[in-house]
Amino acid sequence: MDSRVNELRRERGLSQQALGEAVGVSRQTINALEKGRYDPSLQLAVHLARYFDSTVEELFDVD
Amino acid sequence: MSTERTRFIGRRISRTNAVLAVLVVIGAGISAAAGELVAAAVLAVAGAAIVVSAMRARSSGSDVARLHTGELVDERDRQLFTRVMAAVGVVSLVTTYLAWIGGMLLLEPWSFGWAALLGLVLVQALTWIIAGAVVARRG
Repeated sequence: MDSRVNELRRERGLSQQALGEAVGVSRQTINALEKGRYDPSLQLAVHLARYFDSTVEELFDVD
Repeated sequence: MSTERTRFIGRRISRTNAVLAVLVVIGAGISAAAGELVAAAVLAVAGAAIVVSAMRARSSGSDVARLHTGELVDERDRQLFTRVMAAVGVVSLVTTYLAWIGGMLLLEPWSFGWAALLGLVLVQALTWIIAGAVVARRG
């Protein structure tokens, strides 16, 4: 699944480690999300959307 | 597997690893009391290895190390660990059935080894049935 996590993280000057700590997951999980190798749970998707002041639909492209 | 953390020598490791390490050390104590010093030493080293590898896995930042030690920190670790355990289960089933077939051909019927292999196959079949029902019910 494509996502805008990488784009939004870079805009805010965050490392993968820092974003992972902010939403309670490992650096590898953020990396896997950004590369489209991991589909997050609904809970993590919502946490990320809230962190970026966005919505799940804006953050993740399910099509 | 529980992902709850237990503080162990100032660091947190999974409760499962902490319980496992304590049980192994208790086994070492019992072995030592029974005069089995080699077994006690092996168990003591195993207990220490469990704790050290768990702590190293958590501090290394490596997801592979976390999966190898069961030190799971998030949902992706848990999902990957489920797949790892599925692979272990398949290999375990195949090897058990191969050993069972070999035992049926080579061992005396109702000997200890023959019955032990049959017991293993039955336990695995029962586990499959129970696990399927529980997992389906929990969704």
